[in-house]
Amino acid sequence: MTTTESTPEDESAGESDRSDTDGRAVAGGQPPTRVPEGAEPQVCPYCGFELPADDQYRLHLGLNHYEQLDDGDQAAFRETYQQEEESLTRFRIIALGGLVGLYFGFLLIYAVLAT
Amino acid sequence: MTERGERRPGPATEHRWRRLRRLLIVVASAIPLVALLSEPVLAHAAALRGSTSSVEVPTWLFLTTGGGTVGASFLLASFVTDRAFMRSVHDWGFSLPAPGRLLRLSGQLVGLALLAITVAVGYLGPETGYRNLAILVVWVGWWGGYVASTYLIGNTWPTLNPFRTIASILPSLNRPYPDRLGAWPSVAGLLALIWIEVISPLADDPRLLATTLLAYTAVSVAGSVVYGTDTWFGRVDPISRVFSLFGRFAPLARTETGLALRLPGSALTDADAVSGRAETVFVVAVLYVTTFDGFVGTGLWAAGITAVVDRGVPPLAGYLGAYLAGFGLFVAAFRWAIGLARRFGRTYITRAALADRFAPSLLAIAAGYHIAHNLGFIIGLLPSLVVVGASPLSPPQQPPVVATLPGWISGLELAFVLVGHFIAVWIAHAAAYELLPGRLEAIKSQYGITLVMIAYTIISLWIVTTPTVEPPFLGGGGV
Repeated sequence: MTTTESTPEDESAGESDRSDTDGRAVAGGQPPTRVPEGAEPQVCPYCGFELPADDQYRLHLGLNHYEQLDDGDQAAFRETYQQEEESLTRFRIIALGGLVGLYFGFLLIYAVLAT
Repeated sequence: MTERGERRPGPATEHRWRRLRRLLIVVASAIPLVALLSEPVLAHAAALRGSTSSVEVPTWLFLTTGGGTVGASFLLASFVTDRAFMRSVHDWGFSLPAPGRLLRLSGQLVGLALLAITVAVGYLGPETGYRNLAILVVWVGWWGGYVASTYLIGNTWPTLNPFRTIASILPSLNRPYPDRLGAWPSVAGLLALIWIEVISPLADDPRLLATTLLAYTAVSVAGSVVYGTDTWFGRVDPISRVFSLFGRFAPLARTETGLALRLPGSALTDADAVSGRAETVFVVAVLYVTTFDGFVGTGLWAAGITAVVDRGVPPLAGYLGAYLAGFGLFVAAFRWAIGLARRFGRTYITRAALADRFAPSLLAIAAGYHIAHNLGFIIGLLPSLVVVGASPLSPPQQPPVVATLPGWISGLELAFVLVGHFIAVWIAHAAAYELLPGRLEAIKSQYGITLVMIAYTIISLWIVTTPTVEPPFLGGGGV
């Protein structure tokens, strides 16, 4: 178990080509992390923030340190972001289904029970 | 270029499904609980709503609709994944000129004068609660109306606070405040204050109320003399802490340069809104104490405590046990939600740091619930406050009250409960997007807190719509 207080040395806002990725470091730096025993975290070289899984790490780099990345890392970020878009679309379809289900579910129950 | 292979169902996916299934079981098992809870009050609640519309539905359906609405608002919020948009919403605001020193001084004087009048009339005025200005000022004017102003307008308590004004006149020893205590004394203080309010006839007995106010002044002054006014009212005093948290929800805030105007609730996503375990527990306590205050007035509680006392448990022990157990349950539910946020959010961020950012959303719920709980009460007793205030020492035998409130008031109360929840869902959503790099993970991290909010909506809607009964064994306390 390690607890690291990440250093807020990198506050510069990264600009990117997408409107919703103009990442900005949270005021006061990244929140403290705790890595479970046995896990191998990816450590951000710019702010020391620890992240699991490769895609989370890539997203963090792109969102918070876009300008410091080299071309390869920037491309990797864009690709991960694109990939995330696909799973988001899948989630949105499920969420929409949930909304429709909720709406018609309640509508039916009201139609049956409300007198 | 997309590597779909990574997303093929594997052991990890299966594990996730198992977890999701467990979550579903929790949700499913909550539904019969709701039905159970609503059974005894079906007739009353239906009657109450019957006055506002012609449609009558069973209570369980009414409660689950409320819960469903909160769930739907989570799903709707999940469509907003644009960080820049969220930030622009939360950064929206204007600066206004600061109020002058004169205004500040007059605020302090008004606060002092009100405290002095309240204590004096508490001792010298009539003994009947509803004819005594002290009772009306504290419970209708202050606890009902003024508290609402701290989240609807802005936190003016640091200026008005008469206890602070008195303490600031005295010299201070400025002893260092032990840091390890943090906000814990204010958690204990808040729980103690509401406990006294629930079990004693503080809302009926003007003499007792005046004595309590004097005792509170004495404690505040003593604390300020030892630790300094700023430390005491900034870190220990529970009432100041509640108002400062509610003030974070409010559209107006005092800044170093003047007044800032912002959208209600938008400051709750600030990284420094709440920090440390004690402060998150305090936020949960704010939500809990208003709930408990309402809960002891329900028929379910009356039946429950009567059954417990029949088995030989002293009534006060029963009240205290339930009070603390309920608080433990609230804290546990919140911790459970944070645990889920950490798992589904696939992050190494500590539970404490996640709790810091998710806890402020509960303040929006607490504000919505406070107004729903007090609106009818304030409107009903406002004429009394005015008439008794005109002649505090010889008030009329029966001060005027608004006996029958228009039906839409109860509809408005329910609307406030729901609006509070919508804002809370949005704040949790925005906080998750500030914390987590993955957009999908940010949505999933809200599963726990959303479930907790749905459960809380159901409970609070039930309390608001259930007819109030006198809490048994207390000898007529409670408003």
